Amino acid sequence: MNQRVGFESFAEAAELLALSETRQPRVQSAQARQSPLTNVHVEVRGVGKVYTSGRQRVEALRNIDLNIQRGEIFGIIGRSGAGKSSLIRTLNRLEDVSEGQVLIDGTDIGVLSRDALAKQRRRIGMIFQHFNLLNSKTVLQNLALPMKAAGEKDVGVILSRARNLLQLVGLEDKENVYPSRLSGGQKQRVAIARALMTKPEILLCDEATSALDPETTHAILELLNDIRLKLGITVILITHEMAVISEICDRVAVMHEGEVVEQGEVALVFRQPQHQATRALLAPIKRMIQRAEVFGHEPAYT
Amino acid sequence: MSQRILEALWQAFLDTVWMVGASAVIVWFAGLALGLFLVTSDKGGIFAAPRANAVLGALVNGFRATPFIILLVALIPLTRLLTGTTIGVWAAIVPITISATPFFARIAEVSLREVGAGVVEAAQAMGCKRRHIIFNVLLPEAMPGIIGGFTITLVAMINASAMAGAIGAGGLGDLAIRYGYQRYDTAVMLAVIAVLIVLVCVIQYIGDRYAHYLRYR
Repeated sequence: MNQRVGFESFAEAAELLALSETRQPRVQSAQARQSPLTNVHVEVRGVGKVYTSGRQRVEALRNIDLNIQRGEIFGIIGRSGAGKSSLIRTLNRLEDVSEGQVLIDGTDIGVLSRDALAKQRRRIGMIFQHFNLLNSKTVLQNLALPMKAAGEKDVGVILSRARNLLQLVGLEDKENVYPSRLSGGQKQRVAIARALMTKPEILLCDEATSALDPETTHAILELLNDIRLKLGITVILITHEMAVISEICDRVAVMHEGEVVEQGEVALVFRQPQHQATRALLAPIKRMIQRAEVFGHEPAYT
Repeated sequence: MSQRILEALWQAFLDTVWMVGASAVIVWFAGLALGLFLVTSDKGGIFAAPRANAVLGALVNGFRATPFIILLVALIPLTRLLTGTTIGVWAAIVPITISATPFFARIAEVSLREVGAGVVEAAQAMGCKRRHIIFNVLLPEAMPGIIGGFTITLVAMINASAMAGAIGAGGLGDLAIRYGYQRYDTAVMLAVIAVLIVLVCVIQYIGDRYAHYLRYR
């Protein structure tokens, strides 16, 4: 196969994927383009992370620098073991960094006391690949926990906020259901609502769609974009799927063996991938487009 | 079976229920506390203290390894100190509690460890303090397994109470030994065994149902 020709048509298609598919205006993205990096929300400065167990020493993160803008959806992509999970977990200090700093609104979270950290974490929501809902509690009780932990005693306040958020995620009829009765997509919606209970300014998504089927993935990503537009929060997500990045991210950082090897506007990275790791991650989409060319541009099933 | 024997049987039943019931209350709280400590003080736990964890783990193993009948005798000075006597129902509560607590702690520990690290992490990420994690995450999430484990512990405690009977604690075991074994009265022995079977079945049934209810709601 002629690699060169394939790549050119692929670049075109990638542009299509990244640009024309924008259903909703990428407000923040446009802003960011006009005045680059003026509104830094999360700053990662020279972060390194080393795990030691016995004599084994694994360098999971090396010299990571990121500037994440307020209100943008920032994607971090890499294959398993690239360090993206470690990286996102340093952003709310589920993982302590070995070197460097994580600054949120200019505050180094590495120096916060235990109580101050708990407080800071209430301003950073997080959702996970496996949802991590409490099976012993109903949807409503799950949503109540972060607010109870924040010291909110007024049940009315908790209830009204929970109901608002359940409406936002489209599960207003499930408030008294236990998680075991929900589908994967519904569980993730509950997890999103739970993460938003304390009115965070940042939402971290740790492989949030990796356990979901493509249709549900799409619905959840739409919801995340919707939330970003409605609430204006910064969304940072990690994934191993370029499709996820292309669907909602404004900017992307590509990780490879503990380092960020490439970062920038999604469209740009798709059009002109610089690093071998990026090309490898784009390969599935490339293959799909090539197959589509073989099959013909007009899908037969419509 | 004479009226006298039936009365003795009823009294012995009450003694057993008392012994096991009172011990069970202590074992529930002490065992859970110990189990929580074993889990949360482990390396990477929310109250990480590996040294204390290792010491306590060894202590628990020590008590678990000692046969109950030996513990029973070895604890006599402590029993006398706490209850002022070494015979009777109250005296039996001391060794039963001390032998069942580490047992239940280990069982509770297994259930608590099965609460996924992810769920604890989610709680930390939402700003829960350690107290919230224990009472809102670890305990409720592990509860079905803990209830199942406590049921097993209760049955083991009924067993132990029969042995405690051998050193004058009273109860069903004592009755079975004195009448059934020492006086060759097989009918009493069988009656005691029947009562014990019913008692164990009832406890197991209730425990299973409750654990099932918690697990599959």
